[in-house]
Amino acid sequence: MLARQDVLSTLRMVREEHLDVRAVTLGINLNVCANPDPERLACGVYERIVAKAGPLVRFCDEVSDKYALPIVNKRIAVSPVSLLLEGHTPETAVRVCQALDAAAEAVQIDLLGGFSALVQKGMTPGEQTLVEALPQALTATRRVCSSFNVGTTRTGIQVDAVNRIARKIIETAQASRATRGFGCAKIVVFANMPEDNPFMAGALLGPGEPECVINVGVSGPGVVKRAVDRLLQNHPAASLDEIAEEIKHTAFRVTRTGELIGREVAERLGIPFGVVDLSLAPTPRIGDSVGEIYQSMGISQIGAPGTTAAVMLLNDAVKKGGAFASSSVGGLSGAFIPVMEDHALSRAVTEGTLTLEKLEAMTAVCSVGLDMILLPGDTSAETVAGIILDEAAIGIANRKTTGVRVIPVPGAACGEFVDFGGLFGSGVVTRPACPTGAAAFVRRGGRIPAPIHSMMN
Amino acid sequence: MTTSRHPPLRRFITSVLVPDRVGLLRDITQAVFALEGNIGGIRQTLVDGFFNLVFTSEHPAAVTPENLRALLDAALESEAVVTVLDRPETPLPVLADGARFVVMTRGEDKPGTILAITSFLVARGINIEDWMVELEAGSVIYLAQVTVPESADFRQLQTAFRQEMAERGLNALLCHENIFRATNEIGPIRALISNRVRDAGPSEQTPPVQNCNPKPETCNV
Repeated sequence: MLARQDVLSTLRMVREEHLDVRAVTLGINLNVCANPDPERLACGVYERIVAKAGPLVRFCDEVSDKYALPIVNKRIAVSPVSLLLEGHTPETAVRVCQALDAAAEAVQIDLLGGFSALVQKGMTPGEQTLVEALPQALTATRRVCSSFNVGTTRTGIQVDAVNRIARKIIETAQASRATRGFGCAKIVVFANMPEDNPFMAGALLGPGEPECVINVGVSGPGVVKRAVDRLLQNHPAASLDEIAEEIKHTAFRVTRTGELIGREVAERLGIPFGVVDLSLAPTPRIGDSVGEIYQSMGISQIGAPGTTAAVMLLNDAVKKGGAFASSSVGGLSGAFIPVMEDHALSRAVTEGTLTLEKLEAMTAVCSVGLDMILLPGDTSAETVAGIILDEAAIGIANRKTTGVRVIPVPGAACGEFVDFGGLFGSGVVTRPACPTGAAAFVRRGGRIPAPIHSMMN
Repeated sequence: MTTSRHPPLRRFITSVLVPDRVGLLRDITQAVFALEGNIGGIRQTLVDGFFNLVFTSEHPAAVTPENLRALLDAALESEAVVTVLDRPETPLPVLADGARFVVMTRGEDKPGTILAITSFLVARGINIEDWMVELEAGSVIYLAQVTVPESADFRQLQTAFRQEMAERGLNALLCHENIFRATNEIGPIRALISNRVRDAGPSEQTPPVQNCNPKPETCNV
């Protein structure tokens, strides 16, 4: 027999606090599709995804009905497509990207990740092909997301790859000029990239993963925000450690929920369950914002001194609750700060309280990095490369994941408002306090060696 | 609970309804003990100040239901309502095979709500096992633990329940009990998941696609 209070507290999360599962992501290894014939390769990719993911949405809906819990996003992450492109041309890469897009549409998935390459120690011809095809591939498709790993704590940072990718980010922005550079909203450049991340745009199925697997992203920040609000309503003078405790307990419950849903979907699909990603992923909707959690804690102006500490408190408490809740925690597992996708962060950037430099500081204590940030249209490839290098350095030195998803908006100047709509949100164009002056450093290329603490054995 | 004592035992099921006071349960169990009884299942609740107890007990064969009722009547206040039934066997579950859900409605307290909820459930062969009520900010929350037949279509059930209750101004939902266990217990989640989850392999559900081999040009990508 269930205890009355247990039932009531869980129902309160379901009814009033919008408990949900933010992402159920099916990982599919595509390596078996490798084929020297471009058309057979593309068709093989399409068929494999449709075969494996055909019932994903239906099974998610069934589980969602069973628990009266929304599964907000159903997604697919495939193994790095660069592995299929050895010996192929950029045209083939675009063709494969279109096959991915068509397969995602066929199985009713809004986003598919894995048009990706892991290039932290250098680039193979296939990886170069994928990077070369990036602008055309991402403007010719709607659902496909791309990601790169340009460094790890063990390898250092591959600056040549960073430069090449930065140039392609600029070209992608230009190629998607009609949508204000939206193609770049589907490109993430990581350091210490996780291989089981269920969240877009960085989701992919890493080389060490099973053939197929279900990974899950837990409920959004709204449920944590309401827990903090409830605590402060009952105890207005609650200390920060009491807030941390409340977040920890909430994280425990949302993690358990995520694992339950993920395991049920995996079982129905007849594939293994992988991980629960604890990351709090905001949406532009009011009440679903990470920034609102900081505001509830007492940071009335996001970006004010103390903001980084608030980020750390939140991130740490979520991890502690989640780690106790599940032995299958993975992915990014941190608090996201995607500016455009979070209305409170976006407003702080608009109002000038939150700067790129402060965001960079915040990324030292949370995942993932500089995320969904609009840059002026005249931003140079060297500036984008410098931003990527800085973020990668923070990640590598701190043994954590960091990433960069910036959108140079063609023709736009600082302060201009851009709206991508839907989950991608809106915001104003911003820029680094000092946007130029590092070009000579960046152009030297080569590799930034791994930090001394990479030698762990 | 003891079931294998010798000589053979008689098994009773007893219910007691009486205004609440301190010491009721002690007085009742004292009467059972006096008749060498051993209590098995037991459930006690308070409803609007009334003590309500149901329990099963096993006694030596010579003890009759009348013996127990007489002792309880003597131990309790005159307005106590005591029923003792001779029940040698445990009844089979009402639903041999089913999934356990929690039913919740929330809304204004008005006549006919419980009837509407229970009528909906009965019409779909759903058995109510426990019923709770909670007052919250001017609303009444009804919570029921129920067993839903395995054959039920949860989507249809969820949708119909919400719609039907919404017509009465009630916010309503059905949740499988695993969500409550997952969020309140610390055992491994995998232990909660039934082996009876439908096992439909992806290949059975794959949308039709054109064969790419050996003629790749037929692929409609």
